[in-house]
Amino acid sequence: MASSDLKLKIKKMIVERLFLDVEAQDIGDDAPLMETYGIDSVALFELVVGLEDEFGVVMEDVDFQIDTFKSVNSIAAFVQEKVEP
Amino acid sequence: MSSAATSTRSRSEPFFFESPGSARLFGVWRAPSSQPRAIWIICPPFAEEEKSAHRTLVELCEALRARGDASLSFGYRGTADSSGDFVQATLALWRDDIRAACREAQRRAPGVPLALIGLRLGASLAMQMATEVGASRLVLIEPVLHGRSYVGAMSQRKKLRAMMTQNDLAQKAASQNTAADAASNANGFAASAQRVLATGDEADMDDLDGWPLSTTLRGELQALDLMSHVATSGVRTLVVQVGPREQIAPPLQRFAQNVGATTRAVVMKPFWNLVDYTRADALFEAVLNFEF
Repeated sequence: MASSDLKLKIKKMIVERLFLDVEAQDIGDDAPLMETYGIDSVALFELVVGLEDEFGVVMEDVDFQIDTFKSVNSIAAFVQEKVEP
Repeated sequence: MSSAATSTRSRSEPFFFESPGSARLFGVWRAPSSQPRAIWIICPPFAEEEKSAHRTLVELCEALRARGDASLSFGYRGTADSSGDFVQATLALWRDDIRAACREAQRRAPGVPLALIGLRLGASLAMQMATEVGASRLVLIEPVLHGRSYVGAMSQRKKLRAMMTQNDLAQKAASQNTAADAASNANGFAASAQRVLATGDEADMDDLDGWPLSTTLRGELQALDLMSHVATSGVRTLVVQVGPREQIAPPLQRFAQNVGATTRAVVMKPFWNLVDYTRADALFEAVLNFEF
């Protein structure tokens, strides 16, 4: 999947899972997700489930790093690493 | 005055009732002022999910009462205000508790059709009990289909919280680097969070999202597989999906087909995961429209 397609799919997943009142394409690739959308551990859990459902990415113990969820870019990098090792 | 007569006048009656093994379960009986059309036994989820879902389930009971149905909500032994320690609880004992709740409800309103509503793990238990207790209706809200996945998800949630705590404390310690005790405290909590993150997979988990897990309960959870169930004969069943999508997720659809259930998708946040209250009108509508 092209990087831009992957990022848009991630943004759509974030908007859908967190019931955000924004357009997916309006989320900046580098926007700080935690601060911008007030993401807490409950919301993070929804994203973890979304990554598994949408991309087949299962988080291992070593993957529980706050930096993974910093931005759409960091999530995209994580997904790419998992699906294309 | 008989307890049945009392209960028909009471709109909301908290009480204790007995379950096998000398357990005293806390329950709340809600009934309309006239003879109820049906009795709903509310099978709650547990651990943090029960706390988050509590208000919504109470509102659901009130909605049922408003349309002329009675309900009995209760706490499994070791949970809520019921007796016993969580660490001694097992799924088998909680099924006993559902059985006892059904008996108590039928004692209060003899001859009234019985129905079960379960949420998450409570739905899984309700599914297992529906035929045995003679339920004519069964509503399963986001049932846990695979216990192993459920325990894994609890483990993930715990790790995410530890990760957030670790990050928060690291930021605080960095901003308070002149206060040695603040840094020391932060280091202590961070070490604790790090231990959680360093824990192995869910098979090694000794608690369920902060609730101590006995070996028996852990084994029962990991063996739980609702997909192996076949249709519950004579029990009309509704499976409710709650989440962001209107399409039923394939695993839930397969499960519903297996058991011959109707499905409904309710687009709303998973209220059993939330700290904040969220209105559940769409969920109530789905349940209330599932007529006898």
